[in-house]
Amino acid sequence: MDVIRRARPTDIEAIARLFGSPGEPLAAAFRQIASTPHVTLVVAEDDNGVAGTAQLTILRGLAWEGAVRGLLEGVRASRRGVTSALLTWSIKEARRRGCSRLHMDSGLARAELLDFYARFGFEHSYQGFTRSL
Amino acid sequence: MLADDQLGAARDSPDDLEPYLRAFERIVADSNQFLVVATSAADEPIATLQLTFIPGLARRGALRGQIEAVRVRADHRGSGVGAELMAWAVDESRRHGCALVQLTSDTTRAGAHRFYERLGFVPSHTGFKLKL
Repeated sequence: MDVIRRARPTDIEAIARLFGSPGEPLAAAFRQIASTPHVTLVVAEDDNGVAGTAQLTILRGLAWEGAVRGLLEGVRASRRGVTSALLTWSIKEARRRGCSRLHMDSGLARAELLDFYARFGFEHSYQGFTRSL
Repeated sequence: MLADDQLGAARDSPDDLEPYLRAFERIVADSNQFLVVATSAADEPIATLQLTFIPGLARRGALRGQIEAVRVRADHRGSGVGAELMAWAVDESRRHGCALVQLTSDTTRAGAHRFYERLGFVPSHTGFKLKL
């Protein structure tokens, strides 16, 4: 059974490995996350330790009559079952925090992933854009 | 401006301002979220967007600027004010130490996609939505 809990500083190296960047100095970024109330970073743990991570940001805006929305990013997991656990946790947590929508950013999605996300009710409805600074 | 929009028409209305005023208070109270307007010579708001700073561990722990709710008043579209406002958001993100600016746009907004690409944004990821 996977346990989802808030990430601790001691999880940083395991998270860096999930992002494919072991040894990355991420302590400063971790402190920044910890001091930002609208951002929650979690890890999924199984018998072998940290097996996944995800970040949920609560966004407030004026559009949609001031709807509160969740933004799920940085989902990385060692196996598909852990991704499922992270998605299930995020949906429940977003609902608990009053979100009327949960947005999720993913890499340019493959067909197989679209089907996987669709099982949770996610629709592909946005094109994501980025500009490096 | 929110209601006078191809997608906003069905979900936003200026008739009852109460939910907007409540949401406004919450945005103003959050030091990571900025709701801005561009104003005309007569000091009227003619364009708006929202900028949120999001820290993360991905991309070597990069801070990111998230741009949302970009709207330009109908009679000022094509005037360049939208691009000016976007340039403000990019500069402000850089000033805050962001390594990246990101946004998502509904897949039906073809005109908006061309606008963002002209401003140097690249289509880099897929956005999903779940109604709760």
